[in-house]
Amino acid sequence: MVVDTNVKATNLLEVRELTVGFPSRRGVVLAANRVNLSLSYSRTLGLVGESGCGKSVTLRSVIAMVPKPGEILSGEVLWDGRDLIGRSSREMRAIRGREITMIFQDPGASLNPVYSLGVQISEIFRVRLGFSRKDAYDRTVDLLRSVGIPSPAERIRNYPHQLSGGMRQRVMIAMAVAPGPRLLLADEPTTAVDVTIQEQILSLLTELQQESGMAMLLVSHDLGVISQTCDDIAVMYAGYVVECGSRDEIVSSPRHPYTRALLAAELVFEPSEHRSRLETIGGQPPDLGDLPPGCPFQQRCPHAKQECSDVPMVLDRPAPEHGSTCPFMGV
Amino acid sequence: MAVTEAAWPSARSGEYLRRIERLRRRATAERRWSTFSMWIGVGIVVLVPAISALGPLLGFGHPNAPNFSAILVPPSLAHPFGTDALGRDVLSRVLAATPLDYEVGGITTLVAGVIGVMLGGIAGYFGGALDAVIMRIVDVLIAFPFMIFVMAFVAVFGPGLTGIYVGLTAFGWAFFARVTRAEMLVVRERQYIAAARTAGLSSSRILRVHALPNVLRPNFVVAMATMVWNILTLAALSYLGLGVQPPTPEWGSIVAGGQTIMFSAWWVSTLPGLIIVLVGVGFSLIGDSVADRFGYDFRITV
Repeated sequence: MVVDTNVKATNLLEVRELTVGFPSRRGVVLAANRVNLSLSYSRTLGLVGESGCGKSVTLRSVIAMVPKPGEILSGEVLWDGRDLIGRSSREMRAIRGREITMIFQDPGASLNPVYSLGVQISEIFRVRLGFSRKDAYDRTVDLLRSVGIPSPAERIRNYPHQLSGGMRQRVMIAMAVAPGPRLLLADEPTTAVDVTIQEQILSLLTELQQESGMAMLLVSHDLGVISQTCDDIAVMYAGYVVECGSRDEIVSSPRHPYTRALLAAELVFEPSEHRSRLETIGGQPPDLGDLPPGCPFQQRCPHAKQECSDVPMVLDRPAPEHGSTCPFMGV
Repeated sequence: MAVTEAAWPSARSGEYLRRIERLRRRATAERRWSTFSMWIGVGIVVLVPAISALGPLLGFGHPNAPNFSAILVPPSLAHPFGTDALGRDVLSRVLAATPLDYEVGGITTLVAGVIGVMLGGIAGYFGGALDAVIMRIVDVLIAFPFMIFVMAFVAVFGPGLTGIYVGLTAFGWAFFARVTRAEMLVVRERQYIAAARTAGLSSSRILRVHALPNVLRPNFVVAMATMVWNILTLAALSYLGLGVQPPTPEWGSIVAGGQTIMFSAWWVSTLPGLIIVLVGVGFSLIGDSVADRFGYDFRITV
């Protein structure tokens, strides 16, 4: 990937000490806890972790779309050096769908069933970018072609239910890259499609990214997907970023037991004589309303010891510098 | 299909084919019945005003001109619905009344529908205090004795159509609002609404362009029911002497006119009454089969 070193000097997106809380019967539950992340121009950062670890909430915080009744309690989301938190909804609307766009997990549910693709996609061009009806239509056809949809001029009249899952995800991606965003947020973009389609979607995303130079923040529970696509990786557990670093650092020299467990649980196809039982992580994800002091992974950690309760859980070195909250697995 | 046959070589046996055929028949029978009853409904609803438009050409006599040589003639070829106490042809009067009843029913339903969908949509989409206020008004309206409510408007505006128009509209929107709000609570959580938000569209545009079209289906059914309801209410009010004033023909007032001579000349009330029922059934058939159809499609595609 071509990265201009001058531009790389400052970061496109920096998340500092982001804390997001949800009210619950037992008080406030922190879905994201003092999360630090940084993402520079044209790079891809992957957030990986189990369900409920706070990766989606973190992603949505970037465009101030934390699902109700959640709320950002503290922290900063620096977009090009300017804080996005506390902006008016009008200001956020100007950024959403223009500079930052998003794709969702379930491509079928993200398309409005009552509109054809043409109407739906060209809305972005007409309403957000001020194109005329005719120009919007032409751009829509071009766009569908660029995401690999065959005979786009005919497909444009189709309704979402007439498309396959992979095709719908391509359409969603098309809509997300249409305004030429500088950052694409992808929330589990391949979870709802099968493995062959997953490959195609990921390579499409990488391709589009290389063409346009946009940055990408990718959320997935699948470390395989993340390590295939991302330059940098942040591993989240129970609302904390427990380890972050470049892809190679995370994959080849993980420093947190949770990252190691995730890597070990990766499904690898081997010749049958070498096949062994698939590694799993024992126990359940912790109850966010009832976390132990210190490291939240200690109950499931094979290396847990007394001192784990005193571990500070803040990773102040944001990705891409390699850091881990676990002091015992170091180097 | 090919896979099935490979997996079960005996699949082509007679029993298998018979079962397949039975299943297919059951599925199509359900669909056909729904389509059939819908077209019957459409037929009734269209045919009655169509015949009414031809009314003067049918030669049954002027709806308002008395004919004292033919008082209370029982149904015959010359007067299919008989004649009333003033010798007027009952069928002519029923046909002449059709546009009025359709107009009142249609306009009140349409206006109530627009108001109800808008308010219910806003209440459901935004929630909060606005929702609470709108829905409490709806609760009160629906709990109110309907006839008394409309009669109150007639009392304010005086006998005639104005009060009925206002009263029916002021009441009818509550049903649309309730249904729309319930549906909106589901739709607003859909991912395509979230996707529209991430695209930076304004709330008002999302509500109008992306959410409302998805809540219209159940409202169509409500509209059919309201149409019936409003026509019946107009008839009932006219029957009570609060609606259309004589000699203007209106279904309810025709029925009312025959009430005192029910036992000597049954046709004056009964046959127009049947027409009211027929039109009501027509609209209900459309509403029901559309509801069926959408329910069915829903299961298949979503």
